Amino acid sequence: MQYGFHFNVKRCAQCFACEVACKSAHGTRPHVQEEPGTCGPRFRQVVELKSEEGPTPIQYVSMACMHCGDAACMSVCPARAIYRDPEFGAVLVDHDKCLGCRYCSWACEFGAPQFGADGLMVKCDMCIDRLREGLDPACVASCCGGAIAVGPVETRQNPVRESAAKRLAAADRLL
Amino acid sequence: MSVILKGEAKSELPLITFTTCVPAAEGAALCALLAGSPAGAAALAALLTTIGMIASIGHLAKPLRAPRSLANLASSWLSREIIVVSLFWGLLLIWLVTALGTTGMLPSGAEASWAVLAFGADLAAVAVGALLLFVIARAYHVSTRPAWCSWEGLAELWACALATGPVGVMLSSGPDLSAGAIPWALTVALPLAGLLVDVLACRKREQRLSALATVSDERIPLTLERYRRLMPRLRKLWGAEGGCVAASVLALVCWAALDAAAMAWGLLLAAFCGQLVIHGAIRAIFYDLPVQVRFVGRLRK
Repeated sequence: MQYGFHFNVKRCAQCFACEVACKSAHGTRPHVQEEPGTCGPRFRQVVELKSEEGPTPIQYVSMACMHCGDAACMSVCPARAIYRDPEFGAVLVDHDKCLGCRYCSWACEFGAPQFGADGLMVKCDMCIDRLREGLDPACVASCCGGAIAVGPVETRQNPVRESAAKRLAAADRLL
Repeated sequence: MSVILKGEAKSELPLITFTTCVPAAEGAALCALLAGSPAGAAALAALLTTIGMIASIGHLAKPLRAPRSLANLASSWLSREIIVVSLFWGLLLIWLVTALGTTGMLPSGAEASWAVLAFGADLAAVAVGALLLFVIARAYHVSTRPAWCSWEGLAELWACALATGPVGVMLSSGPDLSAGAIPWALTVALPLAGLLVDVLACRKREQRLSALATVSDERIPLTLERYRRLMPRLRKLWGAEGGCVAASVLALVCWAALDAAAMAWGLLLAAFCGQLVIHGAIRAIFYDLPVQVRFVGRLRK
């Protein structure tokens, strides 16, 4: 079964709790606002989107590894260090096999692979240990607005469709 | 807002070394076919490839795990690159050993037989080397870096091979340039052809990216902006390449007209080293080009 993250941008409160919880759960260094990129790996990152018309941020999107069904990082890794968890479909990295060649970071469209102090690849692992214990990933558990959810990709679509269907039905009633 | 991470910048010198030395080795092997596949050229090609392979292993965070890089031949161009470069290196060593046989340094065996074997090994190395340059170019074909996603990368590798090959072979024949020499016209024409390929590849890349800029995300306009800033440096490098060709011409004049063999050899050495450094610098620009954008963040209307 393939699990995936679902992010509802309308519910995001821009509190950055997901990013902090992720860092806390994985023991990575705290975020340093003034110098992005110098704070160590950011498995989940809240990206500020700005309009072309001005510098004011108008939207925030919390992004982590997409755990792609056809993961580019998996197909390019020369050492087969990147693999998919059979139970949850999470794309994980085996640090005993990783060479630290950084080729995965070239292939990934989403910037998910990052590199620790030892030069080996690290990234969002969907908090696989928590999932196996029946818990939600740290970012999902900490999200105060309920913007981030995780679940089987097939079922995650239904609440989105239901919500859209209700809006269409309401619009139809108004007409 | 595109998040361009400062912390991710890493020296690509090992990869620059690999992608400069390996084409230079291929160029030497190719030009050596015209000179009877001499042992000197084989030694030069093998040395360059060895340096390149050591550098590429040094690029890894865990160099001792390098043999694992062959684990994904099914889908990884990087795995394929490692196996092909290993094959190339093996053929260069065979060429070297058989070429030494032609010099009488190896016991027994007719020199003519060794010469045939050396030529055969050289030819096989050239064929595998051509495949290797293709595989290297394919390894750089990643969709996240549009600047790399076309034939220009392969052309630039061949430009390096053409620029360094003839001079390297002349150089490896020793101060007596008549031994194992290749036609002088090629010593000038091939590097000039390499320079032309470099210039054309750069122009074509810019045109291709400009055509894509209006329909793409921020990566391409940012890449083009970076290209424009790097263009003065590129022009200087092309000028320096022309200077190396001039040094080769001067070397041949020194040898032919002035009988100054040592000076000629010195000039050829300077031209060869100059070409290697110049193509390394051009390769550095290749790595500088793509903007390392993690997330494209500017909303378009």
